[in-house]
Amino acid sequence: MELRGHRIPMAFSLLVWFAIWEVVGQLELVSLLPPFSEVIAALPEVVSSETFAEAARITLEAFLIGMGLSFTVGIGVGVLMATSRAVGSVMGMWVNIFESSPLTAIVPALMALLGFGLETMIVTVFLFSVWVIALDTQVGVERVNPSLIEMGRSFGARRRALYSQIVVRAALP
Amino acid sequence: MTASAGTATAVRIADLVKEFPGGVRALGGLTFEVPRGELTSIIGPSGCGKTTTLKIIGGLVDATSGRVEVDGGPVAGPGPDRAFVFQDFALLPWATVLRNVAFGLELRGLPKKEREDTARGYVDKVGLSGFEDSYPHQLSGGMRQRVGLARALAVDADILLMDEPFASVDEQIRRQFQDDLLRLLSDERKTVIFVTHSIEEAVYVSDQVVILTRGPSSVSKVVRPGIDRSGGSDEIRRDPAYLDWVEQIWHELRDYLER
Repeated sequence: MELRGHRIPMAFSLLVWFAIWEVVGQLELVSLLPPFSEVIAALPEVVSSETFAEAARITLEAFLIGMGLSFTVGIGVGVLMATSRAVGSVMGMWVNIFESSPLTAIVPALMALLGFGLETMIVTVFLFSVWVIALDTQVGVERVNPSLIEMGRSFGARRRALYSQIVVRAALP
Repeated sequence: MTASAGTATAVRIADLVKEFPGGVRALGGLTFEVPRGELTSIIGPSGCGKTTTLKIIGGLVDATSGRVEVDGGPVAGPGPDRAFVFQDFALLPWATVLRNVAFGLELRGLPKKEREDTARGYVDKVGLSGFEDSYPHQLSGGMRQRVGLARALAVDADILLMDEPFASVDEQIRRQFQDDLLRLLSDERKTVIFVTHSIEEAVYVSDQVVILTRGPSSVSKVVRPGIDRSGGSDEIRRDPAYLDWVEQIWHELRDYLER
């Protein structure tokens, strides 16, 4: 963005929001919203507390497990979708539906089903990421130069070597 | 060529038919033989199935019907007795020249040291010493195809299948490359099947030329130019016998174009 010939960094918009936040907080218009300055002042105390560390650890754990599952399942499904026409047409529709649907809406349903624990968080991370990983993998594998695959086959690559040494490597962004 | 050439057959093709899904008939019953230790070109109008034929011999594409025998046995997929040189080079963009040349050996599970020693030898033979650690995108088209050729030579297959190897290379480099190929082959004693759409190239490099008709193709004629290669490249290209063969094959092909 430019203003009177000066480039303004995108981060500037944050400052505008901080200012509004501060004003709304100071005026005590909303009871749950303390002013921005008080939040900043409280930050060191919160971050160094034990509950924060524990919460951060749980979040990180849920994230890592969820992403791990997503990558395993997503890459597997993506490769299958790209290499088998049957899997591609059966799964393709569902993957696209879930990828483009607002999954935030089902988080409350997950909470009702699984409670507030780690499982819910893992499942949420998984559901938010697995579809796009599957689609990206599918596109990546489909765009692998077919002549590289022929080359691999002609030099005696078995299916496993073909995937591990050519397809996966060539499908990487 | 030695006296034994022509007596032994490396590849025998009989009634080869290929129909693609959707009923497009590319090959309508090809029959020809490829003598061992010689260079056989396959030439024909574009879209006549030259490359398909080569891929069937390479075991990369299945035939609809007919027989393909390599060394007397039927072809059932790719094998270590055949190595392929691709029109678009098919080099691994993320691997160095050395690793690309050694890739066939890597797939065969040879130890790193051993395969790189072999690869280094062939990198040198195709004239790319000093480029071992370069990546394909840093090389010109001609140099990339040299890598493709070195990779095929490195696995030491008896039969070399070359799919329009010089098609994406400019003319001067192409001629240089043809001479280099002939020189390399005289050391290696390979059987080569060479697909090209250039009549001059076919006559220049081949012992035998298989001329295909328009698709669904069959063999129109098999000729043996047998050009005297004792002179230099320029001499050959001015040799009346050479020009005569070019003319003859052109007439053969033109008949099919006009029909």
